Amino acid sequence: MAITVSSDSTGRGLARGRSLAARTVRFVAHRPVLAVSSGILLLFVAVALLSPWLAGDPGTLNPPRRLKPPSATQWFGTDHVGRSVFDRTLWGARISLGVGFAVAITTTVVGVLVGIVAGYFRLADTVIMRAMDAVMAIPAILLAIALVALVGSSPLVIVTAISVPEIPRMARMVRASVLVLREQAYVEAAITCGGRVHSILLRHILPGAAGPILVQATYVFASAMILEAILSFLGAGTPPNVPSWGNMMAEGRQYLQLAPWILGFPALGLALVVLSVNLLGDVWRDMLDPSLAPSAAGVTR
Amino acid sequence: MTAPLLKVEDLTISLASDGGSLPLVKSLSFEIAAGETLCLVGESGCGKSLTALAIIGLLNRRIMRASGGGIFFEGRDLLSADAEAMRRLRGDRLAMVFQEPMTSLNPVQQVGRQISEVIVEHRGTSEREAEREAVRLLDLVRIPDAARRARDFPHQLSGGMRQRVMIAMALALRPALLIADEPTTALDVTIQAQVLALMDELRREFGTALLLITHDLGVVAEMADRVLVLYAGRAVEEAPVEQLFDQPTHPYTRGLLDAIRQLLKPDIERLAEIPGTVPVPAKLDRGCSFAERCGLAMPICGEKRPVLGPRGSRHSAACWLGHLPVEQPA
Repeated sequence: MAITVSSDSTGRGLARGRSLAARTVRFVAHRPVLAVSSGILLLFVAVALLSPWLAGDPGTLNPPRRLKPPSATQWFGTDHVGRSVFDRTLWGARISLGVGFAVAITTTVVGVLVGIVAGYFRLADTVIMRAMDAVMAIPAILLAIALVALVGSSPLVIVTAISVPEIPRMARMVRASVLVLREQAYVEAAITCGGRVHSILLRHILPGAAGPILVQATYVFASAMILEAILSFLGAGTPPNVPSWGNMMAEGRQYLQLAPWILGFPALGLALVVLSVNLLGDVWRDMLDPSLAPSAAGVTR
Repeated sequence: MTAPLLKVEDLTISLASDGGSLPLVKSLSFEIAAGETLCLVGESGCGKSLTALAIIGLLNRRIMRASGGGIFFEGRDLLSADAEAMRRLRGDRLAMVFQEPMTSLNPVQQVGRQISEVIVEHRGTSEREAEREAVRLLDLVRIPDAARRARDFPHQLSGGMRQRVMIAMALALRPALLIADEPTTALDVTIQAQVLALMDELRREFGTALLLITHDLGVVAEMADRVLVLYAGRAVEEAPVEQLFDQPTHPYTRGLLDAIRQLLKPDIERLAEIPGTVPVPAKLDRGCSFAERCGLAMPICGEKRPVLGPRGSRHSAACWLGHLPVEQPA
């Protein structure tokens, strides 16, 4: 008996020692898309945060060594004025991801507020949603360019210019969720218990919409990064002295046949981040939507 | 007699449609004394739930209109009370338990918090104090290991337990009136009996009056002090529970009781039923709405509507039988 107990405990200890690695392997095997996409995203976030230490000054010119292909010293090659594409790509990640995060947060906060008010207070609904429809009717890029042209280019303006056309989409989705949730029996029950409006909204309605909001935020994040790149590419975004993936691609376009790496590396970075964010959004949507999880639904209903 | 706790006077609830308004509950009047249990009985669509929603002020205002003499609760007219005043009453003096315990709890919030939320909202007590009270309430509704269960989410509880949580939530602030809209319909028969017994016990302990809505006459016999039978939006008979079961006077009430009593006979060939169906609300309302289905209908029944008339002490019925048409119909 004693032997069984001791061997049991050591066995369990061993299992525990293995379990972190084993659990990681199991996690990757079980949800490969989630593991890979969040891995890529985390890598880029780390790169963006650490770029001052990982990369040199992105503005240093070195005309004699311009348009050099990737090599052991210049991993990503150099551009038309001899700046390091590696340094600039890493610094560019800061702009791209920074704009992505800022727009996702702004859009989510404003969109959720607008959507909840429109969905819960029927009187406000018509006015607010018609205004949102009007904003949606304007092409996002046109609106952003107009805003930048109007007040000049700065990070704040770019984030605003990209957020404004995204907000109606978030607001619409939140409103739709609220319209469904407000009819739920537990919301009615909370009203019956004399709950105040703000506690009904915050405690009973908003948590039910959290899943779709999170998923929508990932899509906003991805499209904001693309929109920032487009604006910079068109010259209406980040100023030329600040490296961003968009203006790097714009500059690299002229040398595409001669030095494809100038455009290639920022484009690859943008594609990887956008892809991983979108995949992450898809996985979250599947995980958070009970109707797409037949086994869980079978147990709970 | 002292002033009743709740006095519903000539209440009419109409569905406002494009063409005008369609009355669904018609000049309904009743009273509930403090600590009393009144059962509202009737088949689906007769206006039981609408009456409850009107009292608690949750009729859908865009399509429903409540009008008439008023709903007086503790001397205050609820029909003319503003939204904030109603909110303060709800959950505090006036509480409600719904039919569906499965969906009436927020699936993403711990049940203890859902109870303590009611206390915090109305009493402004600290969260911690309210949570202690929530555990005490869960204990009171006989949820075993209440302190641990308070941290459970609704999906971790059975239907009966969830309904106990709903009862704990409704009774958290010792309301003067509890409205229970078919509280046990969604539960197993054995659990039904437990939940009803618990509700009755707590009601007695707290001195809460109960407006119990049901179509189960077994529940009525068990719980009620008085019974109000509704048919097609009108009160057809009102009586203390023993009298109603011993001497039902309205043919509709008799029909309901006969349908149950026959189950006691050893050899039933065919279930007795009340022929026909409830008239649609849009139908022209002349005479007694039950006349078409009534085996004892007389010529007058199709022409003049009977009003509630006395049938003994505290017993009244709206029927021309045993009630000579000396009064003018309402």
